[in-house]
Amino acid sequence: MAASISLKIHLTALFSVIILLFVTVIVLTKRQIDTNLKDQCLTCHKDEGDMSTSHLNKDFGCAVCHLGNPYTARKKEAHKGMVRNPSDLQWVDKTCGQAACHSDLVTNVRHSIMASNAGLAASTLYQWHERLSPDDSLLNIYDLPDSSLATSHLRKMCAGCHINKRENDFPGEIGQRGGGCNDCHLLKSSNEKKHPVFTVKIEIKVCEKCHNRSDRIGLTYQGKFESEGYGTPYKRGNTSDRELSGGRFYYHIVGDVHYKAGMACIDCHIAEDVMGNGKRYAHLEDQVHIQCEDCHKMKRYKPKNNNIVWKIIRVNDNLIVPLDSLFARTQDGYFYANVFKLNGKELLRRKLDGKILNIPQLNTRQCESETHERLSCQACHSAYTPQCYGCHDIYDPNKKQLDKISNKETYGHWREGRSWLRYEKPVLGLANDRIKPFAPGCQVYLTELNNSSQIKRQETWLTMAAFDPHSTRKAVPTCEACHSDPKRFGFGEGIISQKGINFKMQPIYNARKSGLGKFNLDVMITPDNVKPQRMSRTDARPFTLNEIRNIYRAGYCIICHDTISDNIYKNYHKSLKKYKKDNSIPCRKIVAKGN
Amino acid sequence: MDLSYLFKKNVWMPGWGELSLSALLIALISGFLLLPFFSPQPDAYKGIALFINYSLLTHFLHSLHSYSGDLFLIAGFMHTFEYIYKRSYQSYSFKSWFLLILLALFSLTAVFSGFLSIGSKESLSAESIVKGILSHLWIGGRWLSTFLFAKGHSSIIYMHHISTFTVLSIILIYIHLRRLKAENYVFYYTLILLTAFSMFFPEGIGYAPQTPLETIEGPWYFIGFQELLGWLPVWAAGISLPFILFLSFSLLPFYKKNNNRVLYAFLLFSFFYIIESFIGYFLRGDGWQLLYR
Repeated sequence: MAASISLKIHLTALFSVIILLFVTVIVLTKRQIDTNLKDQCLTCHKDEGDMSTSHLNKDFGCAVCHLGNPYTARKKEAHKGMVRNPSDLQWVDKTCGQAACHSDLVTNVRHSIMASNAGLAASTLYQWHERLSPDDSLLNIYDLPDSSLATSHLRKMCAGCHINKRENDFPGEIGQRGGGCNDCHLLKSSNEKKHPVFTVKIEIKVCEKCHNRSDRIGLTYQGKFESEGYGTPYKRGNTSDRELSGGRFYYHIVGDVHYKAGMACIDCHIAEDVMGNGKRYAHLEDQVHIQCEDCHKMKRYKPKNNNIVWKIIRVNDNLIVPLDSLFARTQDGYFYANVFKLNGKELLRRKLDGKILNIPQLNTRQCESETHERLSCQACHSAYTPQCYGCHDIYDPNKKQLDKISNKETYGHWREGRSWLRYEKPVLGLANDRIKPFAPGCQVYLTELNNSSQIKRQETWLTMAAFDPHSTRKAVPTCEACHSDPKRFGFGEGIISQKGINFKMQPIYNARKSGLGKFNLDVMITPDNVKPQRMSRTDARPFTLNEIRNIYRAGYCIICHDTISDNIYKNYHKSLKKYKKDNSIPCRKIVAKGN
Repeated sequence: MDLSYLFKKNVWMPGWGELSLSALLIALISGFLLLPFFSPQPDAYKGIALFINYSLLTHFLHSLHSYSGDLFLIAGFMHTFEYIYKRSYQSYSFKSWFLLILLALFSLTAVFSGFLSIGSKESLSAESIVKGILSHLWIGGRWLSTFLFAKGHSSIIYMHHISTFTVLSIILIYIHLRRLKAENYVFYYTLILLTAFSMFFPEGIGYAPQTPLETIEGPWYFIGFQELLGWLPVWAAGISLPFILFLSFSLLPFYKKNNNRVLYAFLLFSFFYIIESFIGYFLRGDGWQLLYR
């Protein structure tokens, strides 16, 4: 007992000495914390470059964007909970989108078509007969279940573009997409250790990263014609520089007139076009607010002091604009930061280099003729339209493929065959009661295999879609190019003839013998009033036979009256009445003979 | 069932009661020493993080404070186990026993309120769970919620941690102080253990409130409860079960039979709680979903 008490006393004394030693070490050890720094991250990262002139490290620190623990300089603790890419839409509310920063823009982007891909998803489901309408602004490709052929196709073939996805999650081009704001605004540096720079000067290649398939506007704008797959990786002994992603190649053809003027996508497309305005839109074109008339028939307005346009001007050092300038505005009231009037001239300042361009104002005589009141600018001013006819999709349930939403290899493999690719005059039709260029969008030949890899089902879903091809030119086609061309009417490529009120078509190829089905792939309406293709929008349609007759009939007038300045077009409807009543008009006899 | 080896005392393994009491006393002392360094901030996490990182001494004291709280819970649990195993509750009057149970509950609350007052991502999550449970408590729930968390005042729970619950803990210590005085070397023993632990494994304060996390887990003793709330409705897991437990423990002195039923019930519940904690800690992923799904 006594020994036990003695041991306890000795232990107590020993423990006291050890504790005293511990405490001495602790008290004498100093910790390096600089309370003058914005956050303690800068203790180690003091040489890190600034992200932009609006985001200086000394004012913001690091943790406000990258999270983590800003109150300690100890690496392990400081890096706990850090994010590499602050703008990833999964946590952007806590970083770029926090209340004191860009919460409004982040909300807009979250609801934007670039995040939801609502149009792409709903249109595909509609075209594949899995949904009754192509319009659903609440649909988000990120939330689509893998429950049907169309959703499987969307998840595996189409989900690599939406900006919700993580950046660098896949190798190659797909990995470069996604990551929220950074997807467009970050200039990636080859030096991994150097902080990349944030920019508002978005180059065309950034947009081209995604907009190089389907309607291919990113390519067409720059005059890149995607070949049908006959490209070669080598050119004159070197690797070809004309290679696109997915083993595709391109030829150079004429670029858009705006491209030739050195303009980038962001010179026309305002922030609300790209990042959205907070509303959820069903389709891409609904989110695009700009129109050609905004600049080429410019009306000028003074933005209010709190308008975002001033912020855009402030953050882009190329945008030197007199403060009392009047700016161009979209019909919805969104301002262009770079389009204004100065000294009586309509001007555009290029956002990438600050160079000033004169903006030609439209020829009201030609463009606003009453005979052409429903024509969109694109119907005449598009030099060509990329047209990708027929797309063979093969679904094999026995093989695995990467699901780009779940990032997992799952059963169900898609293979997409190359199609008949053309850059030529477009089919015309009506969308939202305006005459616009149409192109396939999309024409699916589906083959579904069964578990024994035998053909289980084959379907053909042909769809046409109206869109702006971004191949603008100043010149327009001749009158006959539209008024006597069956392709533009929607009858397809071939030779047209008319007997009485009925048309007859001699198509350029035989669809049946080619194994494509009953109708040629560019036919939107037949002379028998059959409409073999669905439209990708509910407000889109081909010309009616009656409308085609009216267009075709004007072709007779064009033989003699071949310019828009001709007197008969000054009041076309009056001229038409006169033509119908007055038998003495010489052309009536010519037409009669022709019939 | 012979479990007496778990409670055998020697120089290197003092009694659980003494160990538990020593830990609580160390927590109390380290807490007092930390007080002068703390300056309240609108962001509770910032307030704690700043004083912890102020110097190595403050960080050490915080680690000591935190680990002593953890040790108090572990040793306290074993001490309770010992009481049930030895049927010591039978020798208590209901009044004395009930006072002990009440004080143990307050001590547990003192430790948990310390975790809540950190203001980290995990603390805020635990706070919202507690608030959620209190909102289901039909009598006094709203009052208790306001008393503990007071809308818009993040430091209220900290005030309770350093005052309300500490005072109650002091009472508990005072009752047992004579016992500890006789075995005062246990205090030094515990202190040296915790000091070494705090020096070599300094305790963090969790994730900053803005951190995006797929799963937010509470402290180790809370995960089982968090998991239980995932299985059962709030009124069952959050209100009825704790109340039944409290009532059962309180009424133990009335159970005079010399059988092992109470022990088995205690072991069964403990085993169940450990399994729940294991599931919560290892098998829960994004959005508290089971990982195998």
